Amino acid sequence: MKVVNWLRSRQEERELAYWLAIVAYEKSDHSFNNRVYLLYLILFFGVWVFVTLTFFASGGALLFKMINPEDPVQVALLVEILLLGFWSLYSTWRAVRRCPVLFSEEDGLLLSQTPIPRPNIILRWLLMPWLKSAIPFWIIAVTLGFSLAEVTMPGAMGANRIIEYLGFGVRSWLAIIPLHLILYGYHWSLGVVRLSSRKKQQHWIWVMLVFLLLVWFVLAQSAFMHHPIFSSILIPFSMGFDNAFQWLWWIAGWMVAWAVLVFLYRASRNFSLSRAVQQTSKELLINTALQYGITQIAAQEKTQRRLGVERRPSRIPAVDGPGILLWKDLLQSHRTFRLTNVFNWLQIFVLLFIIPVLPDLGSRGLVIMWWIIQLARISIQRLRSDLAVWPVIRQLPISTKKFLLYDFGLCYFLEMLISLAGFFLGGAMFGAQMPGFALLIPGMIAAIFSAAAFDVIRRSNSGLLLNGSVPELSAGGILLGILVAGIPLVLLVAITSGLGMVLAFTLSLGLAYLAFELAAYAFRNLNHERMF
Amino acid sequence: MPSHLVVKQLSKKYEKFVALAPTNFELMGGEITILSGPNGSGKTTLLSCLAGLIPPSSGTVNVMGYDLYSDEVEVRRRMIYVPDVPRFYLELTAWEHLRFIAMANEVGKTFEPQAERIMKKYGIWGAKDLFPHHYSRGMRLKLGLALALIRPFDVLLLDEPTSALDIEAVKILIDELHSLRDNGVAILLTTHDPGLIDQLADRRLLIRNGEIKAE
Repeated sequence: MKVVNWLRSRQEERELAYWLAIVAYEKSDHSFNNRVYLLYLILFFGVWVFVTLTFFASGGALLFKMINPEDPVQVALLVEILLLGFWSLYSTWRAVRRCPVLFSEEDGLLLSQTPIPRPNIILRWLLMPWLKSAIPFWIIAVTLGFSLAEVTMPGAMGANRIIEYLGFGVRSWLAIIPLHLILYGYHWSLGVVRLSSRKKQQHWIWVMLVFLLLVWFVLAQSAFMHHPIFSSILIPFSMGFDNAFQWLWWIAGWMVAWAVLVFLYRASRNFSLSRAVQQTSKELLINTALQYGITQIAAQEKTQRRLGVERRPSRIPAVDGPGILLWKDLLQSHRTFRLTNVFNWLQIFVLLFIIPVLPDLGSRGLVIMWWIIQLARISIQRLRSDLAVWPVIRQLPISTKKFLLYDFGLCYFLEMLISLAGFFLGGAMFGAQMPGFALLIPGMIAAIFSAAAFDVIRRSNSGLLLNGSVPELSAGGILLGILVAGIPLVLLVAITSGLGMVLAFTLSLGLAYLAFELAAYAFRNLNHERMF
Repeated sequence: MPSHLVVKQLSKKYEKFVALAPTNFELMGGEITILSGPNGSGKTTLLSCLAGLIPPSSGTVNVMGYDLYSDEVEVRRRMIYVPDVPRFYLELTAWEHLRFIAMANEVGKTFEPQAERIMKKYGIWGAKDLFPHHYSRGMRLKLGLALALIRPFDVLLLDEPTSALDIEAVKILIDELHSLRDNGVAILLTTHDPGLIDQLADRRLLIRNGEIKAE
C-alpha cells in the first residue's frame, strides 16, 4: 500500500505543482523569500476569492429578489437541488458508459501487476478527483450563502458584520460537503460495479437513471411547492441556508457518505484495473494534453474516439487529379462535423450581419478584426491536418499552387458565401448598403487564407512534420492577415469616390495574390535553409 | 538499364552535426540496392532527402532526368517512398486512402480491382474499412506499401520495410520486389536483416556516420 501512496502522492504533487507554477510559485525552492511569497499568495487569493464571491453574491441577491423576494431560501435551495440533480444525472450517464476512475497506461503498467488490493487503490485514487469535482460546487454554495446574507441581513454592511456575513457562506459550504461526497461516491460505485460486472445486460442502468430522475424531480418539486410531506427530506439540502445549522443532520450526512465509501470499497474487490486502463487512459491523456496546452494531441485523440473503428466507403463522387483533394476535404469535413463547427460559421455570418448597424468606423474595425481572426482560425484547419501527414501529401504529383488552391477551395467558397450572405442580409434588414466593402470580401478572404497558411508553413519544421507535429496559427499570422486584409479597407475609407472603390478592389486582389504566392513559395521550400 | 536516380554531392547538416556527408551514387533500373548501417548512421535521413521530405544542405537529386527541386511534380510521378512508420489521415479508412492516392495519381479507373488485389495479397482486405489508427504497426506498414503499389513508379525507396512484417508478408514483399526489379524499377531499401540482404541485394551500400561506401 505504501507504493500506491507514494505513486499517487507524486501524481497529486505534480497536479498541485502545475497550479502553483501558474502563479509563479516554485515548489522546489525552499528559500525564505519563496515561503514569504507563498504566504502572500495565500493572503492575496484568499481576499481575491472573497471579493469575487461577494461580487457574484450581489448578482445572486438580485436574482433572489426577482424570483421570490418573500422566500429567498427557497430559491437558493432550488438552485442547489437543480445543480446537484443535473450534475448527478450527467455523471451517472457518464459512469455507466466509461469508468469514472481514471488510470493512465503507466498506472496500469505499474499497478496491475501488483497484488495490492484493488479497493485500496480505488479509495486512494478518490481524493484528488473528488476535490476537483467538489470545488465548483463549494464555490456555488458559498455564493448562494453570501447572496442570502445580502438579502436577509438588514442595514448597511460593515467590517463589524463580516463574521456574520461569512457565517452564511461557511454554513452553505459545510452543508454541501457530505452531500457532494455521497453523490460522488455513488457515481464511482456505479462505475466500479459496472466495470466489474461481466454481464452484458445493462437494462438496470436505464431503470436507475429513470429512478434518479424521479428522485431529483420529487426533490425539486418539494422545494418549489413547499410540500409538507417531503419537507423533512429537504433538510440536508436546506440546512446550509438556515440560520440555525442542524448539526445532527450534518453528522448523519457524513455517516451516509461513509457508508457509500464502504460500499465503494466492497464493490471494488473484483475491480479490473486493466479494463479500467483500457477505457480511461485516452481520457486521461486528453485531459492532460488540454491542461498543458497540447491541443493537437487532444484534438487528435478526440477525433479518433468520435470516428469509431470503421466506416463503409464514402459515396461522395471523386475525380482523378487534384480534384481528389476536394473529395478528401468533403469527406473529412463530413466525418468531423460537430455543433461547434456550426457555431464558428455562425460567428462569421453574424459578424458581417451586424456591420451595417454599427455606428462608427472604430466599432466596425473591431468587428472586422474579429471576423479576420475567426476566418484565419477556420481556414488553417485543413492545411494543418494535411501537414500532419507530410509524407503522404509531399509525394502527391500535384504542384504546390494547385495543392494549396484545392486545399483551400471548399472552405474558401463556404466562407465567402456565408460572409456575403451575412453582409447582404444585414444590409437589407438594416437598410445600410456598403457595396465597396462587399466588393472587397472575396479578395480579403483569399488574403487572410494565404497569410494564415504562410504563417503555419513558415514555422513548420520538416523533421517535426514527419512525426505529425504541426505548429498552430501564431499571433504573427493573424497580424499578417489583418494587415493584408486591412490595407484595401483603409484605402476604401480614405478615398470615398468610385476611384477609391476600384483601387481598393484591385489592391485587395493584388494583396491576395501576393500572399498566395508567398504561401506557395514557403510550401515549396518548406524548412529549406535557404528560404528565409 | 540507364540510371533512374542520380545523386550528386547530397549532404545534410543539423547546425554543426553532419547527418549525411556529401554523397554521390546512382540507382539503375532493374536493380535492387540495399543500404545498411548501424542505427543513427543516416539511412532514414538519406531516404527522406531523396524523397524531398526534408531539404538537404547541399547537392542535387535527379530522377529519370528530372530535378527533385525544380521538376517536383514530374519526380513525384516517378518516385515513391515508404517510411518505416507511415502516417495516415485520421478521417479516411484504409480503402479510402488507397482511393485518394490512386486518384491523385490519375489511375482511378483501375483502382478498385488493383486495390482489392493488393489488400488481399498483404492480408489487410478484411480490415479495409477500418481507420488506420486502429491498425497494428505491421498492418500500417502493409497499408503504406499498398499506397505505394497502387500507383505507377520507376524508383521505389523503402525504409526498413520488413521491420514489423510477419514472415508471410516478408515472403510476399520479396516476390513483389523481384517482380518490380524485373519490370525495370530501381529500388533502394534499408534493412538490418542479413537474410533479406542475401535474397534481394544486387548492390550494397554501407553508411556509417553519414558517409556512404559501396561494398
